[in-house]
Amino acid sequence: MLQKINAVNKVLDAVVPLRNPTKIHEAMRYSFLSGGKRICSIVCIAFVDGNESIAMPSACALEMVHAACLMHDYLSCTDSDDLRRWKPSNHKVFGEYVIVLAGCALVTCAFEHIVTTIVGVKLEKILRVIGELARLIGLEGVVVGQVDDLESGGQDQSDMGFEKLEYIHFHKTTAALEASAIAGAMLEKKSVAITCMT
Amino acid sequence: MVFSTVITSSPQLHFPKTSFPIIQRAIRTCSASLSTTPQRISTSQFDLKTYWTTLIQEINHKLDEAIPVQYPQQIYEAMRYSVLAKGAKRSPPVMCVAACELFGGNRLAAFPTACALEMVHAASLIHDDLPCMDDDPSRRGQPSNHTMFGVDMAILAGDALFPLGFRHIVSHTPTDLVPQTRLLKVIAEIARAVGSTGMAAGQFLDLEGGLNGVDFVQEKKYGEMGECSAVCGGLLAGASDEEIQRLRRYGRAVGVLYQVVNDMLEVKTDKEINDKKKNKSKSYVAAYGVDKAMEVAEDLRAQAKKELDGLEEYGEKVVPLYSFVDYAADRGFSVGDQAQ
Repeated sequence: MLQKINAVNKVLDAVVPLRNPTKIHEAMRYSFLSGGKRICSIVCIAFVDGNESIAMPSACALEMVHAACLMHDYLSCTDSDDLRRWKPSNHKVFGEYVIVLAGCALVTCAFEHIVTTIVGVKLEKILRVIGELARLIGLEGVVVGQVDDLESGGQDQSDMGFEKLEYIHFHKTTAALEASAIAGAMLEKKSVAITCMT
Repeated sequence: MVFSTVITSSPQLHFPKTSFPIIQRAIRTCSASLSTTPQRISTSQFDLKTYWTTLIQEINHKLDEAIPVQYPQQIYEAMRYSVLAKGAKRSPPVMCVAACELFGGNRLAAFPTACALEMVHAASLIHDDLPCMDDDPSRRGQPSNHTMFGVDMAILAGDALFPLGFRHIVSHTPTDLVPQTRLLKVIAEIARAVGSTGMAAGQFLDLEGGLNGVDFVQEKKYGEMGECSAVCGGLLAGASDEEIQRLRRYGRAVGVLYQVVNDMLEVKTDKEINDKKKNKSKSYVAAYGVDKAMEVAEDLRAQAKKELDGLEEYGEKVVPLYSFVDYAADRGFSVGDQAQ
């Protein structure tokens, strides 16, 4: 597993090199190169029978969008976290406007990366992966989880009700893993019945 | 350029090198000579207003369907508020459709991408207006998204619109009209245009201030969307690499032209607003003054039309794109005032 993580890190380092404008790219790199368990990418690779070459573009894209979601999640107007993994959060280092732009740039970079680097996969499958990724980081996944979290305000989790809590965590957190598994399963050469994780 | 349904021999789809032409612009001290204007198809009989407003209605309808209100309501309302805002001219989607039809494409093939362009455009405007960015409390005379829904919801609305655009392209483009290779190129093109070396870069450089040239900032902030819209239309219709490069330069010139003229029109309004804009953003008017901005505008008009001159084999199908250029420069009528 460590080998896979290192491979993912190596590709990520190359996918978003430092280029102009430097500050945006530094902010993008700060998020996904500052440690991380790489669960999304490992799950994706695992579902392609460990076939790194096929899975890697999608695996890296998943890490990028995951990092982007966290960047915006930690902004002062949303979850307002100044530290992440005991390091200053991205917006504390680079400023809020850079993070708004860098987060969106990471998402678009992820989609561009899938389209331009994926190898040995039918075009139809690539499009399905794109569609699933878009679905699960957007209005059927991370974003709506974050909306519900915000609308709960400062409500204590014990007062929230199980269904509400489950909705938030499923969409904020589990959706990313679901996307990873589905992307991997879609890329797998064998036909696989894909059902939503619950 | 040969594609198979399973990519084996080529490591990746062939994406022609997208050089980023610096629009050659001479700040001249005299008016441009018209003596070298080539014979062009006449646009005087073309009713651009009807063409444009008809398309706006179709696109509005499809956007309304693409973002239905459901749980959690507030995010959908925030997205719809910006995407379906009154006064939107729908320039990116209309340019996309026109470019697609120029090369013989069916507009039904273009509508999902056209809608996606509008979603992405709206997303970038929502984020641009945020207090941490341009800090605009209003847009098109109405409260900005964050003024209505709060900063956090506005950020999320923008975040949701980007992937929704990509998803809409994948899920709604008729596969019998557009081969999958072209769809992938469209997605790559939009991702590039909006990303860290495209519009995001333009907005960042605009906010940073400093020595960044107004030309570069304007090309990134406004030229990219025009370029992307025209190119996407061409990609959908299967235009050649050379034709795509022409569309790229055309779209970029029109995008910047539109903004240069906007800046000039704003000079006529409240001085306080002008001072605020002068201090915050880069514009040709602020950098060079109105007279030289007018020369820049005419130069861009000529450049855009010159790119279309190379597409004369398409006859009258190129007329809408010619007309857009004149509209961008002259603003002969109002569009985008349609009721939703």
